[in-house]
Amino acid sequence: MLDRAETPIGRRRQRWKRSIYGSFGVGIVALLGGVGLGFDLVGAIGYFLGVTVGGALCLYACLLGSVTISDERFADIERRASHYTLMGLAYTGLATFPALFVLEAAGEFEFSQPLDTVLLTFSALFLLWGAVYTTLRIRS
Amino acid sequence: MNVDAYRIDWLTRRRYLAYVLVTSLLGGGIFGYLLAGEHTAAALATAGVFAVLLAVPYLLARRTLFDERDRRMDERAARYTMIVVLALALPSLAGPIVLEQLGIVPFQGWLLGTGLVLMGIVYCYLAILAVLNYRA
Repeated sequence: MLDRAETPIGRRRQRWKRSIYGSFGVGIVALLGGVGLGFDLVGAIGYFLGVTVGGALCLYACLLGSVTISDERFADIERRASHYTLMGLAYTGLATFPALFVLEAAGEFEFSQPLDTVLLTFSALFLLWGAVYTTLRIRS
Repeated sequence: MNVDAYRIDWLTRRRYLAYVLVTSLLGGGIFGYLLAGEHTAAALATAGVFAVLLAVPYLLARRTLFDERDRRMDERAARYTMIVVLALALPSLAGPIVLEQLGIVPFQGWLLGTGLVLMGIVYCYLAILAVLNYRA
């Protein structure tokens, strides 16, 4: 088993994973800390740097380096997680927004600007999903 | 072709979606017409009709509507969509703050709102990923 941490390859893989996740974590903490302390710009730049370094490490490991940080099992988990996330959002949106439309038509609710943004983002997301799905269908 | 075979043959995904669309529009139109002016009641009745009509083919079907190939395609489409979300979440969240602080463009609230929604989706995804990874 090459993936185990006891083997040199496994340890190397774990180091890379820690570096990547650590970079992302530092970025998130920087943003939250910066916004919390009133240093929005510093937080945003820290976040940007952390995630950029994490992304660069990830890209290097995947495309250029000899380190394999992901395998078929993890790819399968990622696909399932994406599916569950979008499914949850779809059910939540389908259950929530029609009821809000009804309440708005009845004059008991008014869509605010943030809620409009959420609705438009959800719509764009599922239009994108539909386009990708249709493309995959046509190509299969 | 006997009745059972016909029932199975009828229940393809495309026909099912067309069936749901047509019946919900018809149901909505009829209830909207009958309950003109009563928007709330009409919408609730339409939702009820829609839910019942949605469930009927499932109850009548002897096999599942979506097979393994459909599920895999769903998952692949979701994966590619999530890659786009992951790629857009950071720029749309950090971009408006940085550009506004540097005085390049005025604060773009809609972009920050989009970034917040996308980051919310990303965190949901990461939480589900962590749970699935832990359980595997």
